[in-house]
Amino acid sequence: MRRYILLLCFTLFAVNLTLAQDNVVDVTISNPQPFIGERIVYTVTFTSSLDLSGAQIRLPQFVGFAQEPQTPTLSTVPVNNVIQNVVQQDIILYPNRTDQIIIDTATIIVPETPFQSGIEVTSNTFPIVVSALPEGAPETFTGGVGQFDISATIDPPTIQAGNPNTLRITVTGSGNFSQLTSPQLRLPDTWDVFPGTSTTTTTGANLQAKTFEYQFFADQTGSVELPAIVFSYFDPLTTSYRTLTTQAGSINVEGDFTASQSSNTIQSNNRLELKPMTDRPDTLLPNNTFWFLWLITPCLALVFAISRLATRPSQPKATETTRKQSKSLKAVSAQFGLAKNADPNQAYAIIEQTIFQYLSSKYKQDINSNNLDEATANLPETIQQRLHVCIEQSQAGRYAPVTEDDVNKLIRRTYKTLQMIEEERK
Amino acid sequence: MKFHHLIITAILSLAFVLPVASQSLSNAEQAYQSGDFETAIQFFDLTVSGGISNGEIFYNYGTAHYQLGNVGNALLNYRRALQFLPRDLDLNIQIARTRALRNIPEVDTTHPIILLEQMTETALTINELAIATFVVWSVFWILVALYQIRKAWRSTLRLVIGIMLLFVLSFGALLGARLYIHLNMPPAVVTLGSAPVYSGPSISYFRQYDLFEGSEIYITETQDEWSKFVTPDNRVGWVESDNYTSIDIN
Repeated sequence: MRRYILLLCFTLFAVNLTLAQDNVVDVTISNPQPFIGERIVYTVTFTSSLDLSGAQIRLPQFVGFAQEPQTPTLSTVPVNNVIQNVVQQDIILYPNRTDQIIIDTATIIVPETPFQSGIEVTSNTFPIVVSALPEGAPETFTGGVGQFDISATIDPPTIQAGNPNTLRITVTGSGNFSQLTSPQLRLPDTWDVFPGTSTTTTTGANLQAKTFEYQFFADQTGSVELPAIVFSYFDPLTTSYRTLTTQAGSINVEGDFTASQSSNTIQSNNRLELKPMTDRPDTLLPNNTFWFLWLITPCLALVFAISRLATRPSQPKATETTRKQSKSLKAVSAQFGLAKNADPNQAYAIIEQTIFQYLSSKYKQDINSNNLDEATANLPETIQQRLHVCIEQSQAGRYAPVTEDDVNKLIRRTYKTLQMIEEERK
Repeated sequence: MKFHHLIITAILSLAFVLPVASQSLSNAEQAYQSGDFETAIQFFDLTVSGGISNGEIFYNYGTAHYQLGNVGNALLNYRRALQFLPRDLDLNIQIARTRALRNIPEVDTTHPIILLEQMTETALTINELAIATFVVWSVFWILVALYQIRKAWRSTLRLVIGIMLLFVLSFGALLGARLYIHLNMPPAVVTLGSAPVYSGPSISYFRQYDLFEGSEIYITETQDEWSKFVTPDNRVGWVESDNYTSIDIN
């Protein structure tokens, strides 16, 4: 007995311990006091003994941040000698405004399966204080926050006069690449420079590279020096601005440049013709009256639709008649329904009674076997004969052995006869 | 001041303003022909601020800026002229030339409403598009009316009405896009050398990128001195309102 009590206590303790560690959602931020633009990692971790393969993580909106979501990972860890499942989601964030920003709650939803019940667990909110970058940013600072390196290439090194050359500036490292703008160029003002595309690639864990491409036209021939490119960024680790400079490059421009220069001059001296002008003011939008015109044709169509309905006065009457007809025959159908379920002999009595009730309601007088001929004299002879046959059969059936089939046949025949009377009386 | 005094003042103002504006036009033309583009610009400015504006004036105003290399102001006035002269070949060539002179890469339009607006921008003015849509709309409803009164035509009319309904919806969408842009997200052009773009309406927000002279944007919201915009390729940001000029002269 004592052993059982000890075992029970141990089991309760173990269950309690497991519950205490189960379904825990944890949120961490790599740096809760970052600088604006500094790369921080928001991590939400959910630990549970449940199967988390179908778990969904509903992330906060991260208002005030640029974000790069990472792929969630699923793993197992031993917790107090119990194997627990862990799902983890990292989001890389770059604050884009200074202030205290509250990151909203994250919710983990584990769907219900045949083997486990579903749960929904919500984390706490997380406050972050974003600081502005310190004053004294160099002129060449273009928004980079992190740790960077820079290089530049010119392609091709030798070109013909008047042809474009491509300058590629590549910034590598770890930081806010999505917010990084191009380093400043110090090419001569007389050169035509055309910015091209910028591409960002991932080069390793937390390492990226962003390449800025420019096309430029040099306006000199011979060996032309390109000034060094200066790039400044803010390093949050040392809380200081750092400046990097590439080596000065050179290109060789071959050929005669005067031909293309002279064509440009002709183009700029070729003054464009003006258009003949008047002082009439043009209007951009139609006036308000115009919009009222839009109502005319729909109203016209509506008037025709109404008049079409108004020119069909006979139809409602016909509809009324049809309604009444169907009402009388509906009552007959209901009676015949009762007859079908009744005893065959009793059914015949119901059929006879229904015929006389129907005729009485139609002719608005009490009709029985005695005055039947007189009342239905205006009906065609064939219908009169059918009606007589139906009544005779229903009367005879009450005193003869009959089956359900006989009842059904008589019901069909009688109903058809009454329909014919209905049609005839239209 | 009494009401009739106000009316007399307004009439007198118009009587003086219109001849002044008209005189400014001929002065602007003379200055332009003599190569004094800056003076021409001043006279064009006087004309437009005097309330006289049409496609030809904006084209010439833009051309004077173009001669001086003012890419932003040239494009601004060409875009204004395009609202009145959408099919003018010279104007469309000048717009393409000016866009090519900008120090910004060409982008593909991905914003759905702007895309819809651009489908008719170089084909019809808003007035013309409204009249075309009105005609299609009227024909559609006349066919609906005929459907009510001509029983014999109904089977044929059913098909024609279906086709006309498609036309009504298509024209309606095109006109709706033009009016929506005009009323709710007016287009503008960056007229300064460069304009820093922030993620919110203050310099305490993060500086995201720069817009350069001649960038075409659509203003979606304004807060004090700041405006939220969307670019044709769907980038969003905030700029100080001094950096751009709206194409809509009102």
